[in-house]
Amino acid sequence: MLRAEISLEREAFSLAAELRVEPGRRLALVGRSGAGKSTLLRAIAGLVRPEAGRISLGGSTWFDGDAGIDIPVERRRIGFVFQEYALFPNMSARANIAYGVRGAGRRERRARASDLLSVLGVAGRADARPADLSGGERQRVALARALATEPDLLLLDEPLSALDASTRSSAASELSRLLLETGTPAVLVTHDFAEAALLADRVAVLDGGRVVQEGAPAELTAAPKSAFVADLAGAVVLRGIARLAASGLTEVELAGGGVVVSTDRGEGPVAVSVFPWEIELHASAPSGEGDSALNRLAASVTGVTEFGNRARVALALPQPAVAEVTSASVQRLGLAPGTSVEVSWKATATRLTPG
Amino acid sequence: MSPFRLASLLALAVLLSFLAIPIVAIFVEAGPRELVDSLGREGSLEALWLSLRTSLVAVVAILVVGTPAAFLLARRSFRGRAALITVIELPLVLPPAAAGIALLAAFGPQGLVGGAIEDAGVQLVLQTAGVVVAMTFVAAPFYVRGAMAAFEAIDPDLLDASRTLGAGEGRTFARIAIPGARAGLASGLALAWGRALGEFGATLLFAGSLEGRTQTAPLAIFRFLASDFDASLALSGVLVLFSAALLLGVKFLGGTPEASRAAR
Repeated sequence: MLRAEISLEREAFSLAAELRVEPGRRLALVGRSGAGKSTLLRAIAGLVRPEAGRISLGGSTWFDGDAGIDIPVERRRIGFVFQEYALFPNMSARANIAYGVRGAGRRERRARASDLLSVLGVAGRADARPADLSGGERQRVALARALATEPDLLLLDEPLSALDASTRSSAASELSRLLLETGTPAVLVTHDFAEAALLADRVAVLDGGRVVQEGAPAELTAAPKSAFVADLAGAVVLRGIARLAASGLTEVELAGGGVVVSTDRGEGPVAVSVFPWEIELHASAPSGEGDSALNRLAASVTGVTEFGNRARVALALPQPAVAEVTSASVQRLGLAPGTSVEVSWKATATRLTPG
Repeated sequence: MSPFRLASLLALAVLLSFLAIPIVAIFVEAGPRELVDSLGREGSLEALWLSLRTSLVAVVAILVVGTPAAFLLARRSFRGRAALITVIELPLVLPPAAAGIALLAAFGPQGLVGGAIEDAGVQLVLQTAGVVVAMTFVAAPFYVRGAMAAFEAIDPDLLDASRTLGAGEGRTFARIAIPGARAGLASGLALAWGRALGEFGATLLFAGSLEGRTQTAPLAIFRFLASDFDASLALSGVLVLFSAALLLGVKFLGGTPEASRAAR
């Protein structure tokens, strides 16, 4: 198991975080840029020296500020995938991978590198230089290189961010499969919650150098501890003032107009979070009969972005919001900027966090 | 054509002719025949051979010490780094005569550390070893500056990646940093070697101009000037050819720094 307790001070930046990764598990560090995700990853690797703390993997201690232990990077048995991959430009793909194969003869190293290239489906590009590889191929070579050391821990810094949108989703599912297959515990950094949910089984949300919430992706979406986490997880976040209603539910008067109810408790200024796929759209006022959605608001459409068979519909509630619906619904409701609609969602889908 | 473009072209033409005419003149004045003939004259070949040997030793010393030092300066930030770099660069702007005096004041018999050097059984003043010291002193900054710039330009992720792949600092330096800085190291080396070959003032003051022992090619050129202009020309011609070969060799071996930057 990886245990890391890291505190680190830099100019105008401080990091204090505690992480655990169970054997064979994958943890994603999620947050905005500047939240300290990459620094944390580099500290685990030993590329950045923390001021204090402890880092250990299984029985071996890599860093202990009090005991003065600081095992150098090259002896930590990690595999690191850099954001821009950092492939050695003067070496072929195969040589890049062979560089990391430990304690074997030249022939064996090359053979092992060739095996890894095959596993990742880029055997045909063994002799190509990094500059001649496509983005997707570079990512695979970088992964193969990180695996070449037979690491005890994989560290991946934004492993998909250097890819263009068209290859990104397939690369993501492939990476997810590979991580599961290798069974090596991993810590990965991403700013995309959906990516984190796909690649990792636990997510730690970082904000300003602190872990603000940690849990399984589903836990974070179901019960975000703060508006920040909800927003990061992709929720629509609305501001309002809450008070207890006679029904036992919490009633929130939204800034800019409209009232919604929630099963969560809350008092005073709150942030209301609801996920885009939980918001339903109606052409006219719903009858209310046979409909359990308690929250109904008038809205106007401000934009429609279709992708695949779905569409994201931007709304003015009047606070900005987004609903995710099928393309068929866009057709049926004739959604376009300027269209007036009614939106609804359930009180149980309305999460309240202190605003 | 715009007036500015015209003026720029003119400036380029003036610059090229000013720089090239003296070089061309050497070979017009001394044809290949005279060149070979006058090289046979007493002292010429000896001086050339001495220049080559001493500059080679100086350049190797600069490489061995300067490369890791430049790497350290380029990759670490610490207090006083800027001051340290200024000290290293100082010989670049030092007048050669002043450099010669400085070397005497430091390593001469009555110099700052001259006693210690003498006790160690090393003779520098008026000795071939003194020529090497003078060359190293004036030429080292050319290499170290180039090497620092080349190391600074390496993507730090590449060095980090090497460490994560199990390579220690030494292996990372040898396998990643040096190949990555190759073009810059080579051009720094060519500049330093050229400067060492051309060393005159500091050598004259510190090591003297003893035929066969400290009289390098530039000092021999000066000696021949009064008595045998052809021999001066011939020696100069050889130095020019050698320097040009050095420059071309470096471009061929290291590629241009621009090309290797683009490849990354």
